Amino acid sequence: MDDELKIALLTEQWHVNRERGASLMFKKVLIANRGEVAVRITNTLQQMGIVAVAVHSQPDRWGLHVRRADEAYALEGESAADTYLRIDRIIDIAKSCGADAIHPGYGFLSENAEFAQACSDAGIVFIGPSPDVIRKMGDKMIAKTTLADAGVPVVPGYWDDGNADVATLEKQAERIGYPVLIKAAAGGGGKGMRVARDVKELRSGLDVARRESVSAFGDDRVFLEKYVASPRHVEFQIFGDSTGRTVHMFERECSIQRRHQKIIEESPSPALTPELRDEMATAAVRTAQAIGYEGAGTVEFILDESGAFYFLEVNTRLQVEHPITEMRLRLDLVRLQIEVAAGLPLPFEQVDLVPTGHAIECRVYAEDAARGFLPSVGTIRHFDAPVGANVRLDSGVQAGDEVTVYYDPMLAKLVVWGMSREEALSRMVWALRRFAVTGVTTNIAFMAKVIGDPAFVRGEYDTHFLDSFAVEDHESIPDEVLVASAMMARDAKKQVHGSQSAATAAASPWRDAGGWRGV
Amino acid sequence: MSRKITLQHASQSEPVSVSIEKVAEGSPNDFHVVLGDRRIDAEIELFGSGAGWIRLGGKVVRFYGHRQGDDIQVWYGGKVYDFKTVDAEGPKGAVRGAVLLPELTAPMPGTILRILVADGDELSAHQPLIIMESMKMEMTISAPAVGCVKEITCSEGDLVEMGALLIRLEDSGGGAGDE
Repeated sequence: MDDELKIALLTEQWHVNRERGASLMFKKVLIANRGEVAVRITNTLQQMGIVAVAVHSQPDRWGLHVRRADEAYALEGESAADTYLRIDRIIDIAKSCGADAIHPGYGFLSENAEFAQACSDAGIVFIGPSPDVIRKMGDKMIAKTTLADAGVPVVPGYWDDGNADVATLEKQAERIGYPVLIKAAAGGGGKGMRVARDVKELRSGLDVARRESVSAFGDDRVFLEKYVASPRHVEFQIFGDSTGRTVHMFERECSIQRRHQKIIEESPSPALTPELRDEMATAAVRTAQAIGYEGAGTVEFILDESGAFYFLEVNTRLQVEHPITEMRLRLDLVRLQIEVAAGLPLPFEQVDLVPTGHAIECRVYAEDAARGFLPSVGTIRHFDAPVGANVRLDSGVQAGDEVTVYYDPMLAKLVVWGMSREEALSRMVWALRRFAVTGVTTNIAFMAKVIGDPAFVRGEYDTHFLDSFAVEDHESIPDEVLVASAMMARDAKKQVHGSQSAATAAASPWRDAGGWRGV
Repeated sequence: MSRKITLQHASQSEPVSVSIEKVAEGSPNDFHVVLGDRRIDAEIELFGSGAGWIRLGGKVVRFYGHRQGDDIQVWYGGKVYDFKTVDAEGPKGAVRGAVLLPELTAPMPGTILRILVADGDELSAHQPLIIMESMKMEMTISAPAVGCVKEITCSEGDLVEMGALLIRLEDSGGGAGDE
């Protein structure tokens, strides 16, 4: 069949499916998540005329995702393990409230093959790829083997046996050459990952990586990779539908990370030439085709200084930083996920996807950059963000909400778009400087400093950029602040307190920062 | 009627004394403000809880602030400033540098994952003592200076509140605190 005929047939099929879509489309969808992503998915469901169902833990009972939903049901308990990770309870709620499908968001059960299987067994559509694809890509060792076989470049390393003994791993590390990276087979988000510069660090790193991996994933298998000294993290959004059509949606540069977690992402990447972009996009699509991908996914690569790139992993879910792709392509990826899950084909082809301008996302965390990114808890007093044309806020909180110790402290994502990178950067700095949050400490001022940094502005950065980034600044306090403080203190009861807190801060063990890491 | 308040900024050594009073009963937005030894006039318009505008030297700016007990927090110009209100004499027993704290407490609520030392252990500075998990993060509590473990008051698996006592330390053999 020639291409034109194929396209004509697909287009016709698409129109037929669109019409059928009205009857195929879900009536009610349960969101098995919390926070900003649950709110984000709720918005799209409600725009599509689909009833949005929230589930919530005890601490989240008045959370924004509950307030925005059309229906909300309790998952008794506080910890993630007792609530958002309880497959049985979530399926029970979905069945009893009559949900046609479940959207898992990101994190929690989003890359859990058993959950996808349990949905399917219960006759509920899981909005995501098949359990088999999730299982294969969730296992970093199987993923590497599969994609190396498909001709996608992978980082050299050792991944034959996840339970290999220390002696074998020492021999393999020698062969690969130090420094090596120890990674958990079930890992992700920096969990269960350690750098080893010598055999001593390998031994202690194996112990820590295995412990973290068991605690986070219940799996102690680890593998070794050559450590790339100055890597950039560049990923490609992929999308597949049930007709076998696979497209990529260009890249996201995610090298600004702390504790191996991204905080600032941008698209396009300042590191890619058009030729390199084509090459990586081709590898991303080849990856998607090799595993028969359906729905939204992300192929992550690391890019070294020489411009060589290697496959890192496939995230089989919506990515936190998906809005920068949406801003450049003017698409709603959650809507596409829902349509594909309902059996509709993608409404475009690769050639139709022409990104414009530049988009940046900043993840607003309740944390103190000056104290080793220590999370901050408390009641949010003010939460006033500048939103409008080309400035988007995806938030999981509002003023008055509590930030608790139970879950990830990401509050919101601030996303801006500009005609050029320069315009996007200056808009982001403006937006961050106008974003007022009090009650909890946030990383907003820190991110404004990063975006304004000359090296960042030049696009010269890698994943270690923040490791040596100076956080402290000892500027004088503006008069306006003193006047405002005097106004706040005006009615304060005069109380006498010693310097207990100052002394504690000076000798605090947290001064030795660097003790933080993801588990 | 003005009252003097002393503000201690979280990361600045010198406290600042401030006072504020209305210029006249009839003009609710006009204030005389004394900052240390300077006296300035400001126009302040509050809107809603703890947010407002300040007109100072012809420039109008927005601020957000709130107070909880002795703690005052103000957002202005993209930054947040934390103060403690203290008495006019300033803080007692000024910051003493890295003195060995006799007690280490939990900086966040969380779970005790591992205890790496035992009662009576000699410690080197920055030696890891306890690994905690909080908000899905592992964190290491380390010795602030050379010393010795006097008593461990938590166990592995404990769920602890913020500020809970975890470990008591003492000088090793009567040695000095600040290494």
